[in-house]
Amino acid sequence: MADTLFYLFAALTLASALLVVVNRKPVNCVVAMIVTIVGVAANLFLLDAPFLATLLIMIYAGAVIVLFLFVVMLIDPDVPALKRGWAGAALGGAVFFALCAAGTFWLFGWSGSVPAEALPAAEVPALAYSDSPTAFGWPLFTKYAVLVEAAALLLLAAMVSVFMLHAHRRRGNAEQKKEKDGGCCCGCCGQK
Amino acid sequence: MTLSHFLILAGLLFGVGLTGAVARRNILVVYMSLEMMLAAAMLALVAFSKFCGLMDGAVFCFFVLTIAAAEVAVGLALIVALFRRLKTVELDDLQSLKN
Repeated sequence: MADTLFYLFAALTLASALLVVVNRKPVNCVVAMIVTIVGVAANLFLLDAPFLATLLIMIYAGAVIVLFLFVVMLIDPDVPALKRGWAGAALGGAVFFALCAAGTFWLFGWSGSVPAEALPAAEVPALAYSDSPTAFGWPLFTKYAVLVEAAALLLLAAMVSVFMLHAHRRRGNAEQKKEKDGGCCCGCCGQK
Repeated sequence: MTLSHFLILAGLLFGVGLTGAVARRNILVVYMSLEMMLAAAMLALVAFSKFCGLMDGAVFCFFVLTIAAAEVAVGLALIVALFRRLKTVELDDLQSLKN
């Protein structure tokens, strides 16, 4: 049963991933990417990581990819006509992917290169693999507490930098407008 | 299901993402391919974590998720700023640092 599910979700993931790369319209790529993420999350469920799978669906499919969707719709790029040499590029991509796939099978498909059965559980019980959110949260606030702080700092830095990008652009627009009007741009002093 | 199954799936997904990042010309699709590579890496991390019986890989996956979210926020803001200035998202047209 689990094997069947694994093959089903693996096929779903890989097929939609191929659609992301092959599709020419960015909106279709984004929708296929959502399916890919859901497939990866289903595989995480099979790996006894339901908490992480939920996080992946909520953060990746729910926030990140929807952000992509917003940006694609906001800037609405027109699909350019096929340029000369697209067949060569497609062939090159296919050969490149074949090389990647061959390398993957050579590394992991060869029996004996990776242990077939699971190793015994960890010696520290608090860090043993488990599907409960408690087992997930415990190392986050003990062993990796500093990393959590660093991640918080990173998110803050990302927020501030995005804000600064936007603010810089608005200030640039205001200066341009001021140059065009030849006067004050604050809109409240009535000065031309 | 063995560790090999999940590693092969993760490797193939990574290969698809790498191909997209190399072969596509639309900057948004390239960016999405990068996200796909991160998702494949997460799958491999959790697979190793489960088959080694340790929680560390799954916890590391959480940080990958955080970094991907921050990266997407900044990257998409940059792409939008770029589009407003240059009116294009094709990588072929983005070859000059000036103007």
